[in-house]
Amino acid sequence: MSNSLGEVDTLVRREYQHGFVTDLESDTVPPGLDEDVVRLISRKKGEPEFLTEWRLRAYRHWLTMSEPNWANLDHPPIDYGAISYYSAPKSDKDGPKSLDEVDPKLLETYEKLGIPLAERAALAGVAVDAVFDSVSVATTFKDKLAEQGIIFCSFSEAVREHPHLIEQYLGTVVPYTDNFFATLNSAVFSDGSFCYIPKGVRCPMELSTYFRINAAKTGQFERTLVIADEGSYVSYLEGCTAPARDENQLHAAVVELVALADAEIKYSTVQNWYPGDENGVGGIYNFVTKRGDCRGDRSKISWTQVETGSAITWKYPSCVLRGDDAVGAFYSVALSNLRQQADTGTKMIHLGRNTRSTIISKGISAGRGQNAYRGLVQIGKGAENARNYTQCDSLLMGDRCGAHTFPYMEVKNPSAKVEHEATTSKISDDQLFYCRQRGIGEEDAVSMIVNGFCKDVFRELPMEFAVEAQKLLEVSLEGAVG
Amino acid sequence: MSAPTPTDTLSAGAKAYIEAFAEREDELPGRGLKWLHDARREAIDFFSRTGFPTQRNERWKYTNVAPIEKRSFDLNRKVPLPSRTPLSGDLWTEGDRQALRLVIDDGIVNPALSNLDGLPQGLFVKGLAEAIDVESVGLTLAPGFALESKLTRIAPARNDAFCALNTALMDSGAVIFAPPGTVLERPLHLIFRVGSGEKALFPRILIAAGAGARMTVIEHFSGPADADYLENAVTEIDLAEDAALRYIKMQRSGSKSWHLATLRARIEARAEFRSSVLSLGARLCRHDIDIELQGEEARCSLDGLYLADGRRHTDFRANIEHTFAHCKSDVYCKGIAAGRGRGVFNARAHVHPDAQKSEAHQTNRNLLLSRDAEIDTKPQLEIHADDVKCSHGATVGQLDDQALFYLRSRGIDLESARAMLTLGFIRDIVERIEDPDLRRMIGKATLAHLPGMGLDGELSEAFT
Repeated sequence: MSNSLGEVDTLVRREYQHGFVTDLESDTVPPGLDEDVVRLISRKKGEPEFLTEWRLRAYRHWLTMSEPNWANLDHPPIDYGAISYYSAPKSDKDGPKSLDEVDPKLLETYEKLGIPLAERAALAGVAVDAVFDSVSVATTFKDKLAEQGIIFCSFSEAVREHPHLIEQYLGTVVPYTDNFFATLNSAVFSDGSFCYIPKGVRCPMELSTYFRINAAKTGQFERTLVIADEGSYVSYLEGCTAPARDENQLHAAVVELVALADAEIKYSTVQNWYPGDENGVGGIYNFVTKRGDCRGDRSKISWTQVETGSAITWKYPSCVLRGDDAVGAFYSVALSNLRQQADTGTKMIHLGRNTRSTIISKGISAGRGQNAYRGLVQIGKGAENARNYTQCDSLLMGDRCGAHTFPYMEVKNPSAKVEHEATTSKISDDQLFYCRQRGIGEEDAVSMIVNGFCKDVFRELPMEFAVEAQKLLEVSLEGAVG
Repeated sequence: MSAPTPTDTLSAGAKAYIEAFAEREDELPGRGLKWLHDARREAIDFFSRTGFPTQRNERWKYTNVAPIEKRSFDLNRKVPLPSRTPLSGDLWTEGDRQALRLVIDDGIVNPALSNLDGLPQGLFVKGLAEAIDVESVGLTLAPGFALESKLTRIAPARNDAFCALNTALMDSGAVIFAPPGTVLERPLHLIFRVGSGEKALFPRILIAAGAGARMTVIEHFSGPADADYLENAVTEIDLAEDAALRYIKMQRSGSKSWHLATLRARIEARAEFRSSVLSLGARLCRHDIDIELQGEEARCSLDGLYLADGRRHTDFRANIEHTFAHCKSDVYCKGIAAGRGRGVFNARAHVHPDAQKSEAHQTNRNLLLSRDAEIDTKPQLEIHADDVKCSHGATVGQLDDQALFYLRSRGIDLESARAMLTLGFIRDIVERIEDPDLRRMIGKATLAHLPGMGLDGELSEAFT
């Protein structure tokens, strides 16, 4: 704990003294955290008793925990007492019924970020459940999905409309005792997305959520829960941008995926939060717990991520392969430029028979960036014929950056096959020379080579995301060469 | 001087070592040498603060040393009884009765069995206590060689409890120094043997090679099958510019013993350290290796083989610091876990900023042969320079079904077929030993420990 209870107390009593960035009335609680804040969040959201109690249990457990320090990260201590744990746009009181009802200022912010919500939704055929700060403000394509019995809504709405599903699944993949950041999230999570695909339904469109961080000094504590019932399929997209800001912002999200028998979940993320400037000032601290549970036989979960933003990324999307013949996959591109630090990877926990997993991780370090792959492949005693293949490659650009790999393999079954390969290298002069003598400019050449390096991962992304991801890499690497 | 006060949090087991130090402080070799005595006290202070490592310590994540802590080994070996067992039948004498060797029985040099005739001019091999005694009376061991600048300096007891305990309590071992330019053509064997009894031994070996010197040193540890004893060994290696050391460690300690070894090497520009560590015996075995490449073009290659059958637990940890440009390191390790055994591997290459043109490779292959066995492996790269070639690979698998089927279809029974394939798996570790006589002897010794390996038949002649 960075604060004794007494300190937290004074912080709670202190008046909120920070101005807002967008001229939009936010319903923000003063910085600080205690049981009353947890109760307040729960009450404001009109949550049922079981959820309030769950939050409080998490909060009490959190008090007994200390912040992990094993990651290959370096940052000033986070003052958990200086964070405001709840912020909601005030206009949500009645709840907007359609886009027209949404606060125009809010829509304007989206516009600035280059995501014209309505347009994009129509053009791309994507259902968008946009999360602005902590409360969902607009949900589209709901009717179309509802026809098939698919529930896709904000987390708070799910709590109101489908409490039995929440009670049944919340915390079953990431328990509230899981780790420091997940526990904190469990106590104070504000909102997020909820998705349920009924038995045998193949979701007709890519589901996507756009997370934004807007109100200054508001920790974002998203909670996402995706449940794919027997034989169903869903592809879920998550993308993030944030306006530049000078104060480090904490983001501690939790994502839980549940795949029942024969179900498949494809979860893709493009993350380009503000990385801070070249001196490491500003930027998002991203401490995320993401875990999928392949609960049923023949279920499948794949994580694809493109991580280019955040000052700090601490993220290990994992798969628990519980069912027989379950399949887990992890495809990742992580880029750290400027003074960004990324400690990311995955865990594949093989418990069922004939379970298979694939890990492809590509790390790119430039500038003074530090990039670490940290992964665990665990083969349990009963995981007959389990298979894992891991490949993690690092590309170094510049002599002040770092690339690190920490793969753990724990094998307890003699019929398992686990393979791990890793390489580290820089863009070779030969490759560059070849491109240059064909008349390709240096930046373009580098970007081509980097794209080739990441191809295995981009291939896993849905089309429109793949294009966005390539653009993002280009933008993020600007000025990294030469 | 009074003994350091043990912290209250220390276990009774840990306190026993601190008390033993207090009791034996004045009789340990080098009491008259201030620098050595200071090093011992510093080490025991460190241990008093930390105690034994727990599995919460990342370096000890997969190895539990609590059983060692709980045992009370005899730490006050005041009346040593050197074993009179002749070397006959031992593999070292089989090939070459004139082999250069220093035999140390229960921590005491056995001159009758040792043979150091014909060492090159200036090269010396001495028991640790003897070497320390020479310096204690103000003499020098060799021109240009000062024990003070090497012993406990290459492996300071700063970060590891077992290294600290050895530093505090070391009373046996060997000091080897090859002056600049010396070449030792014949391999030198250091043979550590243990008699019966539940004792704790703290051997310390220092191998120093002057500029351009070359030699081959084999450490050989063995002991009775039924004795429950602790071997806490530390080897310090110092290679000056252009020196070369071929180092082999054969750990064939008794199957109820505990073997914890630390190896620290300092390798200067253009020097080469080639090592093979074969871990075949002991109930629990740990090799903790730290290499510092301290000049351009320094090279090291670390081969390893560990067998974890029965209830054996074996842990191989290596850390290589690439501090200068143009250095090269290579870790090549194979492991077999059978029965209820557990094999642990961790290698880390750390390339510092500006250590451009570094090459670091790690390979770890494991064979998991039974339901109750376990392999935990963790290769690791930490790279802070961009113009490097680094890679690592790790696999865990089992014998290939198709290969087994092929052999069986040729009329070879399952057991033999498995033995043949297992042998094939570890074979290259032995074959990477250059000296043909050594290779044959080590191959034979290794076969004797391989699970399911009947030594009759053609396989016993596998290594020629």
